[in-house]
Amino acid sequence: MSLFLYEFKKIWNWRILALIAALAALVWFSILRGDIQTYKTVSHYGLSYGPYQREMFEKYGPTLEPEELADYDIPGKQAALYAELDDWIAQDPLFTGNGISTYAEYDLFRSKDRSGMSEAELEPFDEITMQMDMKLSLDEYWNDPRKQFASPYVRLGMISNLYDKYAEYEPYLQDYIDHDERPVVAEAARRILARHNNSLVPDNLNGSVSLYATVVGVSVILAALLLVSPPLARDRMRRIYLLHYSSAAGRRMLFIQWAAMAFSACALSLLLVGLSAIPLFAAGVGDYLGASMLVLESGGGLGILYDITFGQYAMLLAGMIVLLSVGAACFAFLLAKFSTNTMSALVKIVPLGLAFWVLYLSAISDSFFEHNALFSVILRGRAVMPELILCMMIAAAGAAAAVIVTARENKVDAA
Amino acid sequence: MTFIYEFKKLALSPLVLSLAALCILVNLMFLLVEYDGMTPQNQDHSAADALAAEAANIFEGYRTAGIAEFYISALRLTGTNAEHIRGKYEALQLVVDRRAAGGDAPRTYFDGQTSDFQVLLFGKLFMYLSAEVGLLALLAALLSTTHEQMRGTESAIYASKTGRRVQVVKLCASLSVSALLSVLVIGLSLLIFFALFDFSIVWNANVSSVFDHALGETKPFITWHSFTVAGYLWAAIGIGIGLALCCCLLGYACGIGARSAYLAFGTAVSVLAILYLIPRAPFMPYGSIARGAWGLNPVWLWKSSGTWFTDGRADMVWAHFETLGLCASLAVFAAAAGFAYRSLQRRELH
Amino acid sequence: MLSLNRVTKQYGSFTALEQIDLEFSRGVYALLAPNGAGKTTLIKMLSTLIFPTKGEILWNGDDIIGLDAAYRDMIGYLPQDFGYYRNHTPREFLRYMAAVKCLKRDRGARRADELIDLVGLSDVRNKKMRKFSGGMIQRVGIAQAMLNDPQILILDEPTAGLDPKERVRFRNLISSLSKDRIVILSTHIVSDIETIASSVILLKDRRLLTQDSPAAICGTLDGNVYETDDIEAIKAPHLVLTERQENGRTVTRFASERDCASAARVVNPNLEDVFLYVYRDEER
Repeated sequence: MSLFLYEFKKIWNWRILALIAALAALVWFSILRGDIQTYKTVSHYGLSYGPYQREMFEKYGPTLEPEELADYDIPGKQAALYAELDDWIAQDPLFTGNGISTYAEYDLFRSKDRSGMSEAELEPFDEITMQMDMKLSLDEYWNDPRKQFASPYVRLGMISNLYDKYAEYEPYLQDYIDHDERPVVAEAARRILARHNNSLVPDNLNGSVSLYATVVGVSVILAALLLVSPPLARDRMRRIYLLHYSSAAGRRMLFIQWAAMAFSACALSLLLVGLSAIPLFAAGVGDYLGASMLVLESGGGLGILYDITFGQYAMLLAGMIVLLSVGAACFAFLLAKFSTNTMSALVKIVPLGLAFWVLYLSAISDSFFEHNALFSVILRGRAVMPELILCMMIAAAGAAAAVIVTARENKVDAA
Repeated sequence: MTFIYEFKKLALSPLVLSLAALCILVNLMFLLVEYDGMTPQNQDHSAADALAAEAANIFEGYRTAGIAEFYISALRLTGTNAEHIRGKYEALQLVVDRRAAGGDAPRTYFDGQTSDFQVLLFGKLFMYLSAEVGLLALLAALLSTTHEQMRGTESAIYASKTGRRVQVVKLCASLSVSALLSVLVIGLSLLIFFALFDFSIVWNANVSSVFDHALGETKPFITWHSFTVAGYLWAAIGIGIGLALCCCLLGYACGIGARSAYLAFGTAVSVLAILYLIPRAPFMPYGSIARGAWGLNPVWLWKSSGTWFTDGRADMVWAHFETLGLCASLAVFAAAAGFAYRSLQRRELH
Repeated sequence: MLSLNRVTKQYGSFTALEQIDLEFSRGVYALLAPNGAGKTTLIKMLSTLIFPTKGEILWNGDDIIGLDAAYRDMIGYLPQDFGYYRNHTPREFLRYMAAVKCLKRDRGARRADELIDLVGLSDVRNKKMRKFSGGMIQRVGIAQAMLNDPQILILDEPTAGLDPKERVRFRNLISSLSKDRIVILSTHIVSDIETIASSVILLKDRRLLTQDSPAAICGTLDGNVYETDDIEAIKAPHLVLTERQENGRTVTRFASERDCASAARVVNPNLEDVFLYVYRDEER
């Protein structure tokens, strides 16, 4: 155990950790922070539904039953918003100047047949409708959805989307069931239909978390490689392995070094994933831990294809990142083992890192969604959770290869 | 003489050669996958047929201000940032007017798949190629500069008549090998590309025939200079090799600036990461001079590889950003390499 | 007792060592051979870093490969190019090596401190090894080899690159350590051996040439080593061993199987004479 701890300590070099911390800070400030703050992500004033869905969630819990939908009275809310909009429009000279005094008149105005207009008519028409739309949607607050929510026009769009999602879901799902050739997708649609698309998980949650997990995942794998690669390569360059092999620990040292590398990769990825989860949970996603991710999204697309809660989804994403980090560390161990110095190890490990980067972006990102490339393009929607299986296979293959090499080392001359 | 030894050390290094071979293999696989999904419908058409199709003077009456206003509105730009974008497209308007007056009548080819081919060759493939040759050049420079340290021959060589000047020879060797590897990887990958996709009918067509679909808009692919497809390809190859040389200079500066191979590599990666990530931070808004200047770094030049010699979308503030950026990057990294070499002259070796 | 029975080491078609039979009991054994003669190969086999292609190496009758960790727990090894962590202090490094040698934490720490004192590095025990001299590094090397109080101490070219003062200090250290253990050291510096080795092993043409005490080995050339200041007068076939300046004249030391006593002075042979004679070029 003490040997393992020594190797572990060798790996956790403060200089590398400082470098990782600096790169993590850079990734946070340049990508992740913006992702969390934008209205497109986990804000309660988020895309499509604003705080309405949140209100329903707080009122009715993670699922929405038909009587609860009726109780929420979306048509009543829509009627009130139309009235509010009429007041807005009636008091605004931009509209009244163009002979518009109600929302219905505005709707009629902007739906004019554009094909009948000449080039000279089209430009001012487009300009005025754009201005009207911007005015109604409080466009000057485009980067502050909380303020923009004051607009009845914005709220009307949101509540209408919500109505479509929870009351008009059947045709979308039936289309999947009837026409989608991917069995797993069709099965997901059937399940959602059977439960009346009743999950109140926010629409923007899975996409936001998936995007966030992709950035975190790639960064964590690269950080793990950065952390675990140097010690073994350095031991081989300085020929310290000769001392190891001729000591009481002997060639078992190689196994211990591998174990320390794999464990370090695991520990670092858990640490970084944990740290990256803090701002996400601070934004309130933790409230939905028990909500089902199996839901038809706004616009009629399917979200996560499996009957898992958000908590399980988050754990799966974290687990996949850890598995890939451990797999990458195992392959880095092999490459370093067969390198005579740090530079030759680096030349091999850099392409490994890039390969994992490309693998993540092409096969792991958007995990459990119907548009995941591995699931949809390669496996044609026939396999359940292939992304998770791939991660497990990579980690298992890396570990198996490392164990084989360490076992073979017992019979190999140490040159 | 020393140059030949250093050159051979690098050029014949199994690691470097394997990595170059790996790059070509990856490109082959990528192109085969793309070929599978996107075979041109009418590759058999004669050149005359293709060039006669849909000839239209897209430049006549075209207003680039529309592009500027689109970006300004989509990205919510105001003040000087918006003015910078407007200024760039005003300059582009002069190009459009000149070409319209000259009777340039670009055509489409590949029966409507022009944009797909444009994206595949100059967007995706060149992005991969630039990344690959940049990485190869970076590693070649790191390998070369740290070679003696790794082999324990550093003291003997630095104490010889050549002394620390060997690092100048290594710089020349690294640059030469980087250029050679770039030519090899780009050349063989393009050979594979043209073996799969028949471009012979469009070599002399104007590259502006194709359409760029940035941010969901449809705007002509307007280059600051008039290029044929072949000419544009050569120019893009030139920029790709130039970026590789930038990476080589960066690798060299880190290789002799840092005392360990790992630290050198870590520094190089950190520099590239900073160059890539900083413009994504909020303090560099679109249209600002800061973003425009930062966008001239090699990583952002690489990122915008599909728009070289054009307006560069909203990321870029100035015309000819790729040429400007390449020259600036080469100058900055050459200065960094020079500074690192000077510091080596006075460094104590223990 | 450590013994080698008909040990052969081959690398593909190349034979590095052939049919080596040796026995080691308490004392200092010096492996003496020119570079490339197989000293390091033999040392590495004794350290279990490489394995014999044929034959076996036994410790008290048991194969050392079968003994595995039990055997390695009895050896201390200092490789030719001793690798160390430049950013570690001697104390940190020795504690790490104590862990690698599976010593209990307390004992490892105690031994590390004892050995730092023994090898004369007390003043720098907490200084990073980055700027240590070659001699200091070698002393750290011998300390790490001694951590487990080994019964067999294997040292590969331990004095290479050391200055005369460091070499003498090192020889004394090895001598003091050899009282109750087997010390096997490979070297091509004969002066190291003359003073401390109880037995010298000569390897030639990949085989064992001889194993005997330094005196006995020197005795093989008794009466055949001469000195003269007029080498041109020696007509009998001879091998020039060394030359030195004495009172403005060049005194030549040579070996000849013929009696040259009439033209030169007979001198007592030393190990260097034997080394040069045994590994001579076959020119004359």
